[in-house]
Amino acid sequence: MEEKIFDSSFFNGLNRVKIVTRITMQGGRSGMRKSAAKGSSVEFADFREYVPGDDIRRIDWNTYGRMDKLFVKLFVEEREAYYSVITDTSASMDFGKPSKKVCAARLAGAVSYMALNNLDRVRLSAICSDRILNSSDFTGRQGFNKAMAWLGSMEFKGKTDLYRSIRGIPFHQKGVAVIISDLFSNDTTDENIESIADTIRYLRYMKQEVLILHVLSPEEIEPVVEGTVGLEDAETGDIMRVTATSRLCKQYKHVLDRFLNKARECAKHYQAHYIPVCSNESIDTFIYKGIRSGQLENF
Amino acid sequence: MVVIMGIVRLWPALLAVFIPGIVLLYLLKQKVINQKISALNLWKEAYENIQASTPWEKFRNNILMYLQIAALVLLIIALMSPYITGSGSEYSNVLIIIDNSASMSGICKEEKSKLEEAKEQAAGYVDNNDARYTVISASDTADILISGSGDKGRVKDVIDNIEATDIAGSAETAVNMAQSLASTWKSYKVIVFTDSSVNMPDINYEVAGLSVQGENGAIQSLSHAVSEDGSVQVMARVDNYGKNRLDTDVNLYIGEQLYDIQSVTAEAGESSMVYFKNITQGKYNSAAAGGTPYLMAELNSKDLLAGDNVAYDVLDSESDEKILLVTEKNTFLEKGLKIQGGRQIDKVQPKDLAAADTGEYSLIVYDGIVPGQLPETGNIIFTGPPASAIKNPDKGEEWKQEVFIYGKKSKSSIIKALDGNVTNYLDNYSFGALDVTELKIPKWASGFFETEDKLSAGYLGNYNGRIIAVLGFDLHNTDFPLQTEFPIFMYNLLRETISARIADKSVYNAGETVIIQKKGKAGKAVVTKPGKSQETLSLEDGTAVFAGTSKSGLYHIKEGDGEMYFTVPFPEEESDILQEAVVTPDNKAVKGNGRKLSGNMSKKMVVLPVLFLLLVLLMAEWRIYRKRL
Repeated sequence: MEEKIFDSSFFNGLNRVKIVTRITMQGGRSGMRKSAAKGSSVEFADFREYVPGDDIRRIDWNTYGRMDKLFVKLFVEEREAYYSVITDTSASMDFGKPSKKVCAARLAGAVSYMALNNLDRVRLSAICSDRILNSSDFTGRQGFNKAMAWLGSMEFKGKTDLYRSIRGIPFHQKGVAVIISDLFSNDTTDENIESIADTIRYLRYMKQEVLILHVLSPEEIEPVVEGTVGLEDAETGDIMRVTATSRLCKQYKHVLDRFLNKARECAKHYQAHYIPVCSNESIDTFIYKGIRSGQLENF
Repeated sequence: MVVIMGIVRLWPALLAVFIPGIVLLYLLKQKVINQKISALNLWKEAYENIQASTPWEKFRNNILMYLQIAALVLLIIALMSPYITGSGSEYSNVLIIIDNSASMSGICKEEKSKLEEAKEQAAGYVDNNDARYTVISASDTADILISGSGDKGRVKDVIDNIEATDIAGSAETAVNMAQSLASTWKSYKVIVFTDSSVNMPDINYEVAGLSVQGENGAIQSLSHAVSEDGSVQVMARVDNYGKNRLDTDVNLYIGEQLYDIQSVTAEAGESSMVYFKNITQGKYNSAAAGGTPYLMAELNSKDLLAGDNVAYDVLDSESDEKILLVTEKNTFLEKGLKIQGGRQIDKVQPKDLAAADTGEYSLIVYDGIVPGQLPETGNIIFTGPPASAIKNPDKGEEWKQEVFIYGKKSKSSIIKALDGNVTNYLDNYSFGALDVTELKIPKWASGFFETEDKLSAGYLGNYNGRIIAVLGFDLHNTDFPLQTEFPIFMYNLLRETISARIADKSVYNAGETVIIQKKGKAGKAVVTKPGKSQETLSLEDGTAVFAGTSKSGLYHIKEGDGEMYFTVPFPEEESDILQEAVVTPDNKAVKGNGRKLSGNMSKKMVVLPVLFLLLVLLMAEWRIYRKRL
């Protein structure tokens, strides 16, 4: 990627926030997330009568003094969360000024950084209709460099079929699935929404908490089309001849609003999180939006 | 209303070849720059939505093309200089002059008279043009029939009611009237429907010429004479106003009976005499006695002008009137009565009066005597009535009190002439008289001579249907007969008394008024016109005026027991159709079968509205173009 995706200002904001997850982790390695397992951590969970073999260091002597019985303190086992950051790398993402692909990579990077910073495990996926690229799992802060390198190597071409692509990604445990896409994968808004709904349902089924980052470029939000032009679809190469009238532009915005609203509604319906992002927005704006939506929180 | 659109020039229609060019330019796809976008689906949806909401979207896409084609078409139309005819008028005032003189009765085309054709054309013009109309009918006089009316129905009614006359005349009076009317109008047009020449300098006028060339023969005069042997000779003059030799017959009727037919030939432009000789007195008399005392001559051929093919001659004449002079001896009076020749004057001594048959005289003059009874018929002149006879009338002579109202007897007096018909041309005249019987003027009379004592020495009036004149002095006792005024006076007096037939002439010109005198006790006179239509006139004032002599032919007046015929001949100058060449404003003589009125349909150029429409169209196109950007 020609553009520099990550700079120092990028990290400044991210250091202060973490991603909120509502699911309780199961399995996985120890980390920062509460899990159903009891283990060694600072967070108290329960008492239990001592049985021979228990670590005598965990006996609560104060309780023994009061009760004259030996009790062992149990602590919540903190496990790592599993993040699947799925980036739409179809040709439609390579559009706009600033380009949506840069924005998508930054968002993927930001999510990865926040996750790795929180001692979570991250897997990056790049999807388009005819291929799925999955990275290895990244853990620890040192894993971020590898993640950045992986993101930088993404190629944006081909079509998207969100649902089909996501079905090709293996989900082995509970986790968080972050989808970064423009959600343009079908011919009509209704088909798109249907595809989004299918995708979320599938991910929910796979015990994933879903976060959709809907990336649009400024040109898509405020179209700049003058006179009679041939509009060329970046994915299919289809050309549509239009004479851009104020009426047509108005209608376009109307259709776009409808699409965004339906996407938000759909996400809400299936308990996914939805954050629309414009490619010209800074990462700070994204963080702000995330905090407002309750998806991110300050330390 | 008929509205016809026309164009001045056709060549701009060739510019229509550019229309396919415009269509072609739109059909050829405009080369557009492709613009890459992430996905088309939102655009497609938006576009479909617009199409769904506006079914005219396809039209809207090409509206600029349609506007450009329309603009080009309008430009072509504007270059063609279109005009519409038929609605409205170029002029706010239109003066229509319709000549209804005798010649306008002539046939114009298809058995239609020139007047009918003129009326039809005029009504057509009124139909097609909005203006304020003034209509004048023109014969010897010009009558304004309607003035400044915008009510087309009324104007057409007025035009339709114009009747043909046999009056001689031209449009000249009407032309003068038109000139004075035109000077008060800003926007006007004068249209003259005539068959004669019209010239109106500095006037915006048009002549709808109705002159027709063809054959016309006319009987211009019909007269008779009684020979010494008692036979009657009838003479008719036949004039040929056509271009070819006239060869026809003349039928002579006595009354309603056909008497004789004679052939006649006349070269073009010449006349020929026809004589009917030796009509026996018996035949003549029987006609007169049979109530049809007139002759009628008729041309046996049809021509363009029917009115002049018939002529009448009334048989009774002034020479039939006889005067009875009852006098001892009065040369002055006798000479005076003979001042108008042709009348038989019988003299009778007063002592022989009883034996005389006064019934056959139309005027009886009593000189120096007053009879015991008034004669049954005839007008009367009394001169120098003896005071004794009128002062104290005997029983049964009450009429004297009504005719004579005694004033006084004066030995001498200066008698002054008053203004009146009897003293016509005797202005401020006076004469001396001796032994004057001064009288008071009865109610039925008006005085013409006044004495120094402001009494009357002469009066005249209609007494019970007869004219009675009274002179209060004996002519022998004045110097009046020796003066030049005497014959004038006698002429006037005779005209007032002896001419008191029902009408004073037996031949009148068309359009002339006829004074009908009251004769007898009938209170009304009935005039039968040539078309057998009748007009009843009241005679309560002693006279009636009949003005309906507009048609030529034989007229009959019936008044109580009395009746008389008079004729109105067709005016000679109106028969001459060859002279009637119509001259238009551009001095071109119009000949042939009637000229069509050129301005029958008013013409209005409509270039400006078309150009305005073009401008509006171009503005609309610019606006749409800007909006699309």
